[in-house]
Amino acid sequence: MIDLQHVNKSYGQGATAFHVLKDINLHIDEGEFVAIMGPSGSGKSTLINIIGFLDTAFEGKYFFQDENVADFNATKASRMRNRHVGFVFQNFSLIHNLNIFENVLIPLSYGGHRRSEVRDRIAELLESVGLAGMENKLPRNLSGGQQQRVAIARALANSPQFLIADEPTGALDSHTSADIMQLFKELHRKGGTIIMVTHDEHVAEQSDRIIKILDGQIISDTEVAHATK
Amino acid sequence: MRLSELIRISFRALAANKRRSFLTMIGIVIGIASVVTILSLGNGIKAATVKNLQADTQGQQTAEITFNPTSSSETDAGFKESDIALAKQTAPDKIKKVVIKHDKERLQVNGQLANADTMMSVTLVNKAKPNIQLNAGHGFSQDSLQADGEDAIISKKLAKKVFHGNAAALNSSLELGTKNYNIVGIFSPPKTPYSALDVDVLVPEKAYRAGQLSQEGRKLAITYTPGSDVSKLTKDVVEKLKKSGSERRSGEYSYFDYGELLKGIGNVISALTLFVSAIAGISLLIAGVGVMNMMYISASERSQEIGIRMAVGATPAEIMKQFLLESVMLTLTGGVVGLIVGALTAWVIAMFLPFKPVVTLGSVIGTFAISSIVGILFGLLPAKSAANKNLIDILKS
Repeated sequence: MIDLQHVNKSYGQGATAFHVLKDINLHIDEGEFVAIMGPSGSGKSTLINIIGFLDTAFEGKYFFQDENVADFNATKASRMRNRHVGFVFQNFSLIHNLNIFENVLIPLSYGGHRRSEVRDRIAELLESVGLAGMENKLPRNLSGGQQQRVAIARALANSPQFLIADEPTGALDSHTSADIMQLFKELHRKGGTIIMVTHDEHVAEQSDRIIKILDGQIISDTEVAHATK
Repeated sequence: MRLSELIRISFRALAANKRRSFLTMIGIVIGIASVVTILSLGNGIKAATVKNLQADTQGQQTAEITFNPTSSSETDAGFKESDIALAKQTAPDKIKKVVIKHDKERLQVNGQLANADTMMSVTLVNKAKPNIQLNAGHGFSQDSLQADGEDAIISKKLAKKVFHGNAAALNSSLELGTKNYNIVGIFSPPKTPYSALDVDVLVPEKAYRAGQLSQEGRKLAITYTPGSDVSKLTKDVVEKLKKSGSERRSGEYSYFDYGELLKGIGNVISALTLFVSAIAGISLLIAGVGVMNMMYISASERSQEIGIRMAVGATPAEIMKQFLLESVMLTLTGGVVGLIVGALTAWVIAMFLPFKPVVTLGSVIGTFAISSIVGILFGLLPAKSAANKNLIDILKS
């Protein structure tokens, strides 16, 4: 599904150019649960921005379902993100003046749906992340773990092809973070594709495949032991 | 994204910062209100002026043709019945009525005073006591107002010139046309410029008419059917009269084009109103800059929101629409409030003025148009900057 061939990415130009990604070749199939690890500045965020169509300014080829992402313009990239990608960010990323219902509604409304058509869908999504009936609450009245669940519900709203989670447990305590990981594993069990960035070894262990990045290069790509069983 | 949803989130964003939205809107309210106030007062003045200047209150279209004799020996000459027929012939289906009007004011008449020919200005009166100051003698008696009356009053100036004093003038004889008058009083003409009473001689109208040889009048009043081109038709009648009018050899026909005058006056008032409105409109520009400032601040404060929206699928065009809609909603609401405030202000001011304010459909539509345009014009750059934010940079921070 996801196929990166000789992807290079640099910031800046000429002598001051900073080469962030160096000749990345990566293939991710449908239904995989991948953890990307690496220290800060290694280029892992840049990599998932490219995988998630957030960044289309790179060299090389990236085929997503036989379409070359490098050819997308801003509008096309937005449409593709809306339809095929779900994002879960470290800082929960909810809009504070909108209630939970409206936060989950955002990707659906950019997909052209009316509020009235998606009431049931949103109730179902909130129930699946354990927040049934919380539609009318504002984000500031929720705990960090609950906010991250809302973000996951939002990411799943358009039934995306894959989920990108950038340090999803980075701002949570260990207990809450275990809950969130449980949610991801359940999603994976139901056939969802998840690409997760983390620098927590313990969190990465729960995925099926760990890709390690250092200085813009993939240094290891291993399957986690439990996955082979 | 659907428009209804877009309107909803724009409203939500404005409501999230009530005080700032309200203060920005006040600028627009003041701008629109002042323009609307001036426009409605200006339209009121125009309507009142044009109405007052139209002699005919029924809205009839009329014109008057004047005959001016060229030589002093022809002072009796004017319009005859044949001229009425001639005028009607010009456009029988458009001319409703043609009437000869007898001049009553400031007639130039050749008469005899102290056995000498004298040109005098004469005004005909119908009241025993016209609004004048008598220096000697008395006013007209009720009898003298009839056709056989013989009283005349002359000015102090004329008395001095011809009789060298008031006493000598009193009871002297004055001949106008075929009729002899007895001078019964001396008056001082009023100081008002162009007054009808600022003349040499005052005589009762009926007595004067009885003494005239012919019943010719100096003015021809034409009433047209509604919707006619008064200026052009009157011009045609004048041309015809010049060619074959009864007295074409002894004088000139002329007319005063009131239609053109009214149009001109209306245009001048409209132009003045627009000019003053434009000055008031400068406050709209200032308010617009306020809107722009607010939207820039809003766009930079909400870059996190913009980032989230773009990440989950908002296209740059959709972000731009959202911000543009916010500024238009702000200015449009300000415009509606301003329209109401302006109309009320005009109404209150007009209570102390002799005319009513007029809020035209044009100014209502104009208000909506101008507030939308201000919103779009001053919201465009901030909305563009919001839409062109770099997604990667936002997500990094």
